[in-house]
Amino acid sequence: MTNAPDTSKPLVLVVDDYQDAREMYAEYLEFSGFRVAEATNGAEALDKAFALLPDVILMDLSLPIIDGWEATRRLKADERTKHIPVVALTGHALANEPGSGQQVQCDSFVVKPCLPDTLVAEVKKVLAARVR
Amino acid sequence: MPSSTAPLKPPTAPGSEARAESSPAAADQERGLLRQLVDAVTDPILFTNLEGRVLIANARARQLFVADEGASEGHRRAVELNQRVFHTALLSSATGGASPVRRRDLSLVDPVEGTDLLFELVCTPAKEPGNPPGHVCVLRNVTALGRATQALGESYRRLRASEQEARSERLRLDLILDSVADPIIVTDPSGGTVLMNDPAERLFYAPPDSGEAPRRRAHTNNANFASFLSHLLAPSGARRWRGELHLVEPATGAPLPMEAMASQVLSDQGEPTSIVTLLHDRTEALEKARLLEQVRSASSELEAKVHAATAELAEQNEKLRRQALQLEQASAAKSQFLANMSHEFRTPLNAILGYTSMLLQGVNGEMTPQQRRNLQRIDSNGRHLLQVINEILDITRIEAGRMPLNLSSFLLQDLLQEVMAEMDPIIARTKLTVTSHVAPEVPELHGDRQKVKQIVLNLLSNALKFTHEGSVQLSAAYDFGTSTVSISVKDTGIGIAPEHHEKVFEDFQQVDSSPTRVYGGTGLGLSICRRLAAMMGGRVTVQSAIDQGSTFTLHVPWRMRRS
Repeated sequence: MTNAPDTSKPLVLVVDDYQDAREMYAEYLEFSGFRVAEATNGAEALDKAFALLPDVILMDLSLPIIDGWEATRRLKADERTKHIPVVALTGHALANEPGSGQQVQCDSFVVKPCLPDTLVAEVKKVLAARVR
Repeated sequence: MPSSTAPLKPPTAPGSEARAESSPAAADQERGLLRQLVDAVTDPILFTNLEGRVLIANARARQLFVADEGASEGHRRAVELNQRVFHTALLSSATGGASPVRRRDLSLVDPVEGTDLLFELVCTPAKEPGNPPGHVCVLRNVTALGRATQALGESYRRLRASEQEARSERLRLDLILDSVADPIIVTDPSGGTVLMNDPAERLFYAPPDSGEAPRRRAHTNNANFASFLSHLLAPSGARRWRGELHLVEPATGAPLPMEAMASQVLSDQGEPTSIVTLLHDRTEALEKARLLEQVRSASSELEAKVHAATAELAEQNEKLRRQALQLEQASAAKSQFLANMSHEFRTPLNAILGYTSMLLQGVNGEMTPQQRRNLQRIDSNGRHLLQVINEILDITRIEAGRMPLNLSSFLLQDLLQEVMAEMDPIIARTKLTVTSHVAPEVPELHGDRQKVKQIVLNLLSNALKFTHEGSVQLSAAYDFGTSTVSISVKDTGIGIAPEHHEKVFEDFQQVDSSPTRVYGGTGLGLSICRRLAAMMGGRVTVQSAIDQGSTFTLHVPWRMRRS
């Protein structure tokens, strides 16, 4: 994006190690009127979250270095970031089960494959809930 | 008795007068002494002449044979009777035999007492020169002796009677002993046989005409018995002895194992008087014991076999258990593999479907109609692939037990409305009349809402797919008898031949499974429906015929319970 950042648009941090998926969601989010920042692993996601304080974070759960579960737990444990809604993305249908032991305070779960427009609808829903 | 030595009045001995001639004073004195002597003898003594006339009588004789003047009538008669009896006896004894001394019994009466007296008359002829011949008669009182003899005869009779009784008693005892089947032997303290009953006799005595072998066998039996008895015969021997005797049947030589029980019979003084031995044939008992042993050994053999079989079974079970475990592990590994694989499928598919969708939305600008049509084909094939992957994943999850039941209470009316709403875009593209009806008696359902919905969605989507015209009816009913709710989807579609009713529930199966089949779908839908229904304790049934439409029905318990 070459345009100067428009701070009136919500900033979405997209965290996914799979480049094609990350860039696809990023492109569609920008197409849908969001500002986008990207991270490729859990550690980078934490750095960017603390630095940018995005309005919402799209977090793939299987990530290198620090996985999505752990990253989300740390974000929710930190005063600066705990109010930021996290939409968890998972391609592992089996991991997305109640009682799988991972009590993570994600605000929403989205199972991949997830079409870009479905994801954007979810993001809008989470943001609307936060504003209220 | 009157005063003794009263002289006999009438007779006077001429002999005594003749004696007195030599010295009259000395003769008188001697005669007086003699009379005193004769009177002192308590037995009557008389001297008679040859005719039986009494010449001299001593005091006791006078009592019996002389009556005084003042004697009573009875006394007088008794004396007369005595005199007659004596006279008769004297005469008859004088005329008999050659022996000079005569003995004879004489029954007299005591004139004073009136009692019977028994005497023995002993007559001795007297032939002394110078004296007249006569008889010296001595009467010996044998009354007591007679009584004793009588008593003796009586006791002899009694003895005979009791002997008779003892004999019949013995006979009875013999009969009893012989009637006992077990041999009984009575021996004296030194071992000599006193008595044995018939069964014992058959063992120990062979008849003389029975031949050499039986006699030898009987002899052997006797020897065995004697050696058995020796336990009791020893001075310090036991009072009782029990043991085994190996006898043989004398006639046949068949072995006769006997149990012998011998006991001493003691007198009142504790002296051994006899030994009674009872034998009991143990052949039958031994046979029984042998049979019992056979049964027992057969039983233990059987038990051993059962043990072996059980052990083998346990081993088999263990093998099966291990195999089951391996299978389970293999199955879990397969499920994990499929889950991983579906993840690996979905990651690229996510990008394919995402970019296709973005292109179709014109994110990168408008496309020519041909480009759009081709992209739509990519899109629909991608979606089909995704559906297949999702359904495989569903089956994998069900089979891996990783699709738990989430129970809640819900109304079927709401659920059917939701299903209709979700399918509305598809329904709208058909010309079908789709209705939904829930019978008023259908209660609020307690179960896994998501799974019920998934099944109904699947059944409805099938109905829409295979029905070209007419209607599709959703209806729910309740069966009070089985407490089961049934949700039916009835269509007027192409129908299914009865022989294919089962096939449609199998994995990857449609009635037409050819690669060029007309109808889309993965062929997994009904197989998933059936699995989900089973998880909830229910089932899916079908009623259909070619060109008659189909009715698929889900039956689930009104209240589901976690199994």
